[in-house]
Amino acid sequence: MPDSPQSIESLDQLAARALAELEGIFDSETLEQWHTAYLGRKGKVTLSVRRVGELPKEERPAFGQHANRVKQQLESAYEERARFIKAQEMEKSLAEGAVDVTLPGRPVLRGRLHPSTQTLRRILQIWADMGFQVYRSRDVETDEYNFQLLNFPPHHPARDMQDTFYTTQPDVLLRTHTSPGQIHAMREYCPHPIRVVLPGMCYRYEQITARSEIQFHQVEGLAVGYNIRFTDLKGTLTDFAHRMFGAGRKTRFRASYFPFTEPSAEMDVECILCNGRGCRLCKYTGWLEILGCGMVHPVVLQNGGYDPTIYSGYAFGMGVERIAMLCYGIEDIRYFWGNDLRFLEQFSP
Amino acid sequence: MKVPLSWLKDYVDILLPVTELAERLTLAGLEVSNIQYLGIEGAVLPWDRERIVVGHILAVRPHPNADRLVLADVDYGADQIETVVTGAPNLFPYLGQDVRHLNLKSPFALEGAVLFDGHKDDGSKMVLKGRPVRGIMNRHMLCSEKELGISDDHTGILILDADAPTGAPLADVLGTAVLDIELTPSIARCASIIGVAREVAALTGQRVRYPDYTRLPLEGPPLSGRVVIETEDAHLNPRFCAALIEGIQIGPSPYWMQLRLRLAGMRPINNVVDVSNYVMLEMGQPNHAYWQIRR
Repeated sequence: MPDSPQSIESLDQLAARALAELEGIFDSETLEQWHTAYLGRKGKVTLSVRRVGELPKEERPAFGQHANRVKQQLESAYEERARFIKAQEMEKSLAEGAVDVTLPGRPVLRGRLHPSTQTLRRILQIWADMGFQVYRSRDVETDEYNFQLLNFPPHHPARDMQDTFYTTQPDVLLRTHTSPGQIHAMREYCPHPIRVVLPGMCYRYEQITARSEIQFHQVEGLAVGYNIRFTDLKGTLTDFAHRMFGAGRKTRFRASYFPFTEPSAEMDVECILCNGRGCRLCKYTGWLEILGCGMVHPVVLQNGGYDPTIYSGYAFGMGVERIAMLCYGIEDIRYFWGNDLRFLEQFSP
Repeated sequence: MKVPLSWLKDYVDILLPVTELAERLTLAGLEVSNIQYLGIEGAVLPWDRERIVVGHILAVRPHPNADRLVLADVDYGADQIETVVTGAPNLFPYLGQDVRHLNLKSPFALEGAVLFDGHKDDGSKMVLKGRPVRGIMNRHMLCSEKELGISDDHTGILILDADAPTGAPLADVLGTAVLDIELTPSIARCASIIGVAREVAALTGQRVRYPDYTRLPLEGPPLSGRVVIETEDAHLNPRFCAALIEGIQIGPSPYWMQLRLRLAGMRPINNVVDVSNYVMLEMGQPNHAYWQIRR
């Protein structure tokens, strides 16, 4: 074709062939290919028109006008075909996806409280009954509040107990425990006595397994005042255990270590499944580890603004998901943030 | 930290049952997270006290019908000497010899004993039954570590220390419980066997028996000039002590030491490395054995 001399006739022949081809097109993909083949930047018609220079000078205006008409004709044929194909495709999709209006409606799923929230509220209710106020503090903390003011000096081995998410900003991290709230609360209330619980999400850079998550809730407690003794701590926490796990439930305190309390202890309650006889839940020990606690370390009291020679206090902290797992017999902590309705639906408020 | 009870007992008398001891330690802040048993009650394979005993190999003789098997005459404290067929490569060097004087001791399992199957890796057990091996009746067996559940080693029979009492139940010689203690950063003083022994003594009203350090001969020519110690950062390393020990022959350490190291979670290498690790675990003193380069 490109070899035949350029003329109005050859252009018309090309246009006629293009129109004939267009009749046989029934889907938009082939239609686009057709448009590219004839009217695209390197389409046959476009290239043909561009060869106007081969004609004698006097014939050029007539050819040009004719060429424009042909192009317009082809473009409008294309648009019409496109409308036709679109209508056909619409009809087809309507026929395929017909809605049966007589079907019964889908029930609206009723939301319910997450098991963590339920357990958290139960715990907070008990502490509220005992006169503790809820104190909230931020999730993003500084190294100073999360560690240093809580008596974790830099490079102290106790930092290895909590693997930390650091941010790109130096010394800014996601809190690894709710304890930095103790400092915030003390600095806010000093020199008045304090009785607060501090709930919130904590973050640790750990391998996610059935027993450990990178985020979880803690409830921390803090009491500061005159003459607060270890016996107050034991009595209060035992009372909490009785309210939370049942009146006759035995508790025991094991010596432990936290940098921000001295002395430190961990409280176990008699296994709620086997009542202390030994079972899989308590790993045949008869005891379930519930919380860590201790007398607020003098350094921490001082960092909070209280004179440790005058004031004393106790603190405790528990994992909400851990307690929920024990109460409901949940075997894998990953269920909590797995967003699986089959799991979540099992916890009616 | 893993504390073999048999090792701990070198430094303190323990009169409580192991579970009670674990409970006392846990309440005192040394949380015992697991108790592992070897050969005694509570173990995956308790060693039958009647049927798994210390055998004394008296002679190693050729098997009349097989080159890759030998006959071993074993005294296990009974009136009679028993002969067993074995393919253990570590007995071949003694082939054709009367080895009574070498005091080759090995765990000896009598017919009816329950052992791990040395040829399987799935932990399956078997009951030892008598059967003829290449025409020689074989009722009993000298055991590998794998058959006893000590390790995966099945390359030869386990050779015990020469002073192992012939005929004694193996459970009394090697059996023990291992306490797995989770130490908090506040009690680094307990990060050694003696450290734990101190706590046990304090908790149970016993006395600690420290090793007799006075037995170490500390005489000899001065080191000056023969050993040079360079300290790059005196702040990080305020004190460094060294002693030169000469005339050492490298070889395996005694079996009791290898077993203690393994129960404490370390791999035995040779006598020098093992002693270094043993003392570190025993006393909590980091130390290292260096080669002396002769110029």
